[in-house]
Amino acid sequence: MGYSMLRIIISVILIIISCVWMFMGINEYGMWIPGVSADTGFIPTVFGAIVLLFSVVKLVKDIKTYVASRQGEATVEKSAVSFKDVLVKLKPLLPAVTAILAILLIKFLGMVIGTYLSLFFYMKVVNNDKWIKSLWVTAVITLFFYAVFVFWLKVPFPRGIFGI
Amino acid sequence: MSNFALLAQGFVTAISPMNLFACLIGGIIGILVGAMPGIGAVAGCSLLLPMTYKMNPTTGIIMLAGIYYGNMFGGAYSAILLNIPGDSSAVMTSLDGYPLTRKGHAGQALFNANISSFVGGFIGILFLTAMGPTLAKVGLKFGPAELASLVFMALTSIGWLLGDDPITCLIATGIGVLLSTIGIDQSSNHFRYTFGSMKLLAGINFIPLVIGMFGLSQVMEMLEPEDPDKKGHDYAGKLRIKDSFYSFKRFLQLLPVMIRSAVLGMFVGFLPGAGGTTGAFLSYILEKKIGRHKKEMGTGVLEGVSASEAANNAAAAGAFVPLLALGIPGSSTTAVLLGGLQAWGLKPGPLLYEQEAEFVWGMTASMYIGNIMCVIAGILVIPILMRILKVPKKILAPIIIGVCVIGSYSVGNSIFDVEVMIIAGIAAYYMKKSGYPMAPIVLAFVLGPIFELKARQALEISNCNLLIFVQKPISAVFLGITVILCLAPVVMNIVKKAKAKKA
Repeated sequence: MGYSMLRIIISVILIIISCVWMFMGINEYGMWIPGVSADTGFIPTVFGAIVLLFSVVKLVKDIKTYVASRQGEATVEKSAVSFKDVLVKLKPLLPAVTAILAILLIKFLGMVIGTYLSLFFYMKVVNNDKWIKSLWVTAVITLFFYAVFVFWLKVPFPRGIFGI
Repeated sequence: MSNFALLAQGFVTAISPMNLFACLIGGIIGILVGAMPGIGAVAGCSLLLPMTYKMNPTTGIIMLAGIYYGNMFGGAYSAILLNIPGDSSAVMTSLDGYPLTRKGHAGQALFNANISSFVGGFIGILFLTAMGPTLAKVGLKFGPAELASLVFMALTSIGWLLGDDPITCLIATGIGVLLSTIGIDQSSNHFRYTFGSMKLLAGINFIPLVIGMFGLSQVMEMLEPEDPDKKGHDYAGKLRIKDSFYSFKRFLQLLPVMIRSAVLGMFVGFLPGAGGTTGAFLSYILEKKIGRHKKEMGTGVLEGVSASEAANNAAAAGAFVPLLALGIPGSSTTAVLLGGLQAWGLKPGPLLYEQEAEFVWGMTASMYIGNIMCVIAGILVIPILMRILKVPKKILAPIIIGVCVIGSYSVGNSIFDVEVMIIAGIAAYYMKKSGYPMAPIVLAFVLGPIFELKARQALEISNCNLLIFVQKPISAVFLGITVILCLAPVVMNIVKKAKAKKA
């Protein structure tokens, strides 16, 4: 998926979001209480309309760009998209995957073990670092977080099944 | 007795060993807390407030004030080094601070942030000393209509000032406001856009949103196949401490930027409810309109860092004006400080300057000392901070992910905040790929609720008469400036085209 298609998808998502905001603003929350004040839905509807208007303008521009780029590509011989290409495109999502893993592990195993394992996953799987390096670097980072957030700032993290 | 004579007496109180120690500790804690995304001045002051109850009120407020303005110093560090603003008021700092880091000038950006914070803070405190009670009276002239118009001016300016494409900027501004409407409506106390989720009742927290948009999306960009910095920090190799400092001549070039930003930031700071973020943003706009380097703003120039940092520090000092003279907190942090003052049995208001002169002037004097302590501490930590950039990117990435997760959780001790951070990070990554700037979203997220609250209050006062915004002279001036600012580029474009046709 090229950037021009991504732009179209984002414009469409923004149009949907703005329509939902406007619809709920007008129908559920109300716009105006005559003689009193603007109602709960007034500002969301106004800004929803702004987002809608400019997103439609942008969508038209994006479609034009997309059509132009497709016409340009038509003259070039297309090569098949391999599985490897897809993986490379999805690689930037790995930090988010690590963060999701961290949430799950922290919930069940507590802050110390959860943070350690999720960051170890990043070092070993994403960075492809050596075992020893991954183990000690992750340990230092976890220790730092523990010292600052748990020991000093006393943030009450989940303790997990091991109670730490 | 003049204010400066009273200040001299205040210094006698402030330089007692206990007060000096409280000032130092407050400043250092403020810097540390500000540099760590997810904590912020409000949380820092709230966490330490109970600790100060056993202290003398003057010592207690000196420590809390130290945390507050120390936080303004520290907020810039993570914005400059990691592109993660430590607090909302540092969002504007990241616009030029982080590009400076990428150019290999992280040290200069940090040094300049410290110097600008110092100058801004100093000017703010000077105004507080000379005209505190008078300024508070001026602040009272800013009713809901005036504040709504001021914030409206800021909101409409975001669109065409912060990016190359005004359309994407306007959409981003709108999205920021829409996101800010989730949760409880401040005016009617009704819930909005929660979609039946209990977790959304309190709305979206600012810090997880900004951490995701700036921090997580940053790490995601590091894993792109075409990432220009993939081979490591090409800017890390060039870092030398001695390159961090600039000449006195360069300081003199930056001084006018610092002064005008500080004056504007101070002015916004003493308006109840406007806050340091609005001050930093308006100063950045001012610099982008009239500065010598207006065309390079946003690409990594020291003027951008100076404008933001001088303004938010001056605003922090300015926020003490309505707090002390009127008993009105100008920001969330000063609301915590107000709680502290009341707990100590003090009654902020016009009589505070007369009845508790020792307390007021002792605290004001300590702010001068604390500002000097913070700038010294800030400059001393530059070598340590710069070591962060020498950490290889492969190790820096998991550290940033850890900061994102743990920092987001710390805001409200909630896993939901971490989920918000992740969703914001993924959305920001793809939006950035599509050309949407992130700064307008976070700024509008902060300014949107202020605008809505004040605009609706103004309408309530006037029985729903929209003309209130033009009937009030100050409000009308702001709206006039907004119209001029919006039409100026269009008119300039027409003139340019007409000239080109003639040629």
